[in-house]
Amino acid sequence: MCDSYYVVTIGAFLHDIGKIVTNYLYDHKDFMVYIEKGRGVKSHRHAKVGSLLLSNYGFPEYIVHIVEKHHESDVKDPVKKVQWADRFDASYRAGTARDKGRKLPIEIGAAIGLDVTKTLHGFDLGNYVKHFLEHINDIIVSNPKLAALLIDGFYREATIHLRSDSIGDDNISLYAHSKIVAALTSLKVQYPDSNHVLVVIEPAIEERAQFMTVDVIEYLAGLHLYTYFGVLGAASCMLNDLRLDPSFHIASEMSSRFVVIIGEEHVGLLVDRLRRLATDLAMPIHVESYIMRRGILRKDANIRIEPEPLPLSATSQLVCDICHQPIYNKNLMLILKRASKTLRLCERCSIIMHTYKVLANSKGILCIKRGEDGLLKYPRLSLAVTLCDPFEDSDYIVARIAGFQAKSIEDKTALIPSIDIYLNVFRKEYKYFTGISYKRLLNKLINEGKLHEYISTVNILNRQLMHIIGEASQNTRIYPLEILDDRAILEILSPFDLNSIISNSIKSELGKYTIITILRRGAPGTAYKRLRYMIQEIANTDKILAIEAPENALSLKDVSVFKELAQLLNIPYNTLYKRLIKLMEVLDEYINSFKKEDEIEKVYLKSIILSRLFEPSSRDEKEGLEVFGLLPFLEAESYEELVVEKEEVREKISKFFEDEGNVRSIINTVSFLNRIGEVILLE
Amino acid sequence: MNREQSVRFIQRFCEKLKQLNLNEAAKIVEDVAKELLNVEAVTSSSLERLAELLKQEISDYVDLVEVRSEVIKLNVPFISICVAEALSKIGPGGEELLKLRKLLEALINFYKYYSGAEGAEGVTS
Repeated sequence: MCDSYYVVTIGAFLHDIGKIVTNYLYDHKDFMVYIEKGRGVKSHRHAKVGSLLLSNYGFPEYIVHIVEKHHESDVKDPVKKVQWADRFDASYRAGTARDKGRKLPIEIGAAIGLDVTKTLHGFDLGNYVKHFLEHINDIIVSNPKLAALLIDGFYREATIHLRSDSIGDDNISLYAHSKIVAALTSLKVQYPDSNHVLVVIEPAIEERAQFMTVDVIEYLAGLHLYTYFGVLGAASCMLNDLRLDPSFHIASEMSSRFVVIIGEEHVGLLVDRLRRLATDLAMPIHVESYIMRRGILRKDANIRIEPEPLPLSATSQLVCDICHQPIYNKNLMLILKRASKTLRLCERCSIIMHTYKVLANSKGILCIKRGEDGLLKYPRLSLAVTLCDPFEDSDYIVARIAGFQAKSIEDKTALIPSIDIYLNVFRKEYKYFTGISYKRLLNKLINEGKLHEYISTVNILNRQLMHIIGEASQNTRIYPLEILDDRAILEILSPFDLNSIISNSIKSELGKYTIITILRRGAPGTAYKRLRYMIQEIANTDKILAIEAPENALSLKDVSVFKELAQLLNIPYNTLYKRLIKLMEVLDEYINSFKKEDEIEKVYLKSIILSRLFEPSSRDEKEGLEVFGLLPFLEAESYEELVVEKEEVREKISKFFEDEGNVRSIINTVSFLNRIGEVILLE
Repeated sequence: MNREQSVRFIQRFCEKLKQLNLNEAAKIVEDVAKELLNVEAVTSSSLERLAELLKQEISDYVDLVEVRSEVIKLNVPFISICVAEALSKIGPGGEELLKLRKLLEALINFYKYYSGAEGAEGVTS
């Protein structure tokens, strides 16, 4: 038993459990003195505290031993394996400790508002830990696999809720750390000589979702659910075949992003499994793998798994009304009767739609047992779907994947839900859609090899988004369409309500990484597609601003023109916006003068625009340069001397305003921003 | 443009003003403003003063003579003389005066814009 796979890995998972207590009791000096005096512990007291805790609650001695000794020298297996994994992972933490980014997960926690008054704290936290420890030791002996699942959930809950705002340790990343150490230890136990690989799986849901129309709005929910369970199933089946526990090796799971830690030799197996899923869904899946060396993540492979083409039936005359592919098997065709028309769905689209239908058939709560309809292959989760609307609006459908043994969607004992999908029926009134994305942040973290921050952030971003949306929706009518790990798509009825969501996003610690897109109205499929496209495009740029409206308002061209002007003037977007808003009346008259062909009026208005656009900066600049005596450093005797050099730029700006299209774009952008509020302009 | 070309270009503008060919003058006013940057004795403040004079109410020939004399006295190279002549042709009141005012304001705004001086206070009319 002592050397068994589960004992070692559960020990690895729990090795830092003492930190939950020591970090929480950091300011309770008496307690710490007692611990130190009573036990003679000075260094690595979390190891001692952790072992005390576990032994007090009757944990098996061999697990207590692993936890207690994981920082001591001269130890033997299995402690050595845990120690090796701990040091390996610590090398990532040490590597990033020099960076400011080290505290990122903590800052996220603080931004979410995890403080003493709102979250698990004091007796709540104490009771939570106590309750967990009281029950888990029995399960460890009788069912170690189940125990591993519960430990995973406990860690996520406890460490995320810990008082992260006032203490100096990486409490939130403690979850990521435990998970990585457990995964590495587990691999070390099963495959001692294996290279370890971090695999990021991103199903291209947006490519499939582009077929969504107002007639098949449930398609999106079905797509997410099928994808989530499909990838989860593929990964966990492969891990089970290798006798590795999914709860150790799947570091994060969302329908749009999975992170798995496995041996290098297993990547091919995983890709094979995912290929079947890609074919089932006719949806590409991106897989990126990174070799984990000490403190370094090196990109190993970037694979796009394409679905295999299905054999076309020679007699097939029918075409799917969703994906527009031929329907080759009429027996598997699904016919949907809708108010406007009857839809015929091909086998693949039927499966996606069926997923939703299965889940949504029952009013109230429906828990689906493992294995039903071949959807749930991962034992840790059951699925709960409710038709209750959190915003008390019956138009909305909420799908929630709840945790292990959840009896209801509100079940407090359930683990944290991994994904929430909200759907509405796209009523035909004017509305705005907005997208928030943190993809750029995640890309940045992984490209910089910040393993810890990456996994912690993936695990916590969903909460960040929920927090932002929750705060914003208190006094406004904001409806989420999707809230995933790194992005959310929301519907907002009034442009004024956008302020709330945007300011909440920006004022959070992650504000500078926030990508916000706004889309005014549009058919559901188009709106969704455009938002996705915008989020994707903007994730790859440095500046953050995207506004899109297909009707009567903005286009990407408008935004790019606005950006061009800001660059020409060399001023921030917000400054430009403020200057332009004062000039709106003049700009309106100027655009009208193009039609009138009144040369004098036109040139007069243009001269006002140009002179006022430059006004503040030139004055500030002049004063700054003169007051601080900086002119000699610029090899100029007077400010005017420098200005001559700028003539070329000024001519460009002048030409810019001669283009009627440019002026129209500027007016569009400024009026749109004015309706929304200037806060949208991020730098 | 060399100095000679520059002077000729400004004079062309002045001719158009004198002939009250204001629409044609408007087409080159921006470039003229740029050229005026190189003319000594033309300053932002002198041009502003000129514009202020033109804003005065000119309801009869007495007002007109007074404004003309002030404009000439201001002695902005090239501009004062041609503006004075244009005023004579326009006479008191009339739409042309409004156009002339706007043109002069545009000239000043462009001058300031290219010189980097403080922007215009002008409002749309």
